[in-house]
Amino acid sequence: MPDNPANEKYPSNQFYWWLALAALVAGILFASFTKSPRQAPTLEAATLLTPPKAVAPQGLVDHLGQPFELPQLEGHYSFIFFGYTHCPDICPATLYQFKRVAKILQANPDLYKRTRFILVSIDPQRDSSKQLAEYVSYYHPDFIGVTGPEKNIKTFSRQMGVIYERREAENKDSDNYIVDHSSAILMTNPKGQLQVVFSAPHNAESLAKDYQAIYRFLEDES
Amino acid sequence: MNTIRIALISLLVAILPGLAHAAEFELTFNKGWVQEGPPNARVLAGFMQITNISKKTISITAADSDLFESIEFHRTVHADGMARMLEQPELTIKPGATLTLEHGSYHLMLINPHSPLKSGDSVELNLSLSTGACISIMLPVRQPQE
Repeated sequence: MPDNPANEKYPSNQFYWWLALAALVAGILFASFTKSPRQAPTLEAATLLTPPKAVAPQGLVDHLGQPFELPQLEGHYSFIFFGYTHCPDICPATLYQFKRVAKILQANPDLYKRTRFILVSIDPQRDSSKQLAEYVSYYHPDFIGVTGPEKNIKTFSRQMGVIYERREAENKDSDNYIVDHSSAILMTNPKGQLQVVFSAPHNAESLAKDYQAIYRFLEDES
Repeated sequence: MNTIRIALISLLVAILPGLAHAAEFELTFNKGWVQEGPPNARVLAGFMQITNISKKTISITAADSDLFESIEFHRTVHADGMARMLEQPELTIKPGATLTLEHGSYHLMLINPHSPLKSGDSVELNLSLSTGACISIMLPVRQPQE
């Protein structure tokens, strides 16, 4: 059998195998000891804000008349929609989507316990706590309604990147005015920071799927 | 004279149901429903598909119901992240065309129900058409299908 000239000039094949193995082990060790940036989850309808944005609701009340401020956002992931009870199309449709998302998430009680669904009224003139209580509980007993003085609602909505505009009825005395508003659903993280924006049109399955992916991603990180 | 009067009345009796039918069958209505809302909802939305089976353009110029203070036609428009509701003076359907009233698009805005409506109730709508005809349709109240 003729000698392979390579065997004389270079280290043996075995040496390369050991070298490759050592490199692999070193790579695995390095990866496990350093916190490398992880791949963000693939999302259908959501945009993950990194870093999240601080918000501070102030002087607001929930549908039971209790204060609704930053501590009420903390500790939970909150789906938040800005709408109003005199809204015929978009708001009921969105609350029905929330109801479906809640049903999907209830299959995972630990996740559901950490999740809240909130309707913030952008029409505080017509939406009292009492009005909201009856309205949101029709969709789900766990849903939360939030209202408060107009200027506090405005401040919170701006922090959340939501705009709205009241359009007067032709008959100025009429109470049937319309409020145009952002159609996005927002989500705050357990620190009460704005973390996710879900763009319209909304679909319960996508909302639930994206939220679960984001939840896993953020919980692994912390 | 009497004979003529009787003849005229007979003629009217013969023609009138025909006219009503003619008006009714210029438009067909499918998949109509009113979305159930919370008991204290001051507005509800109504949806349906309207097909114009006649040879001329027809508009629905007004709608009313004994169960609501008023009814308006609206269209939800999504633009720049905003949802806007634009009131439509009438709903116009070209010959052979179908107008779909659905979520996020054209819909009936049923304002101030005189009493809360629940799934299983029906809403009778009276529609005035540009042809001069007046027709009434019944829409069931229900929750959206999952």
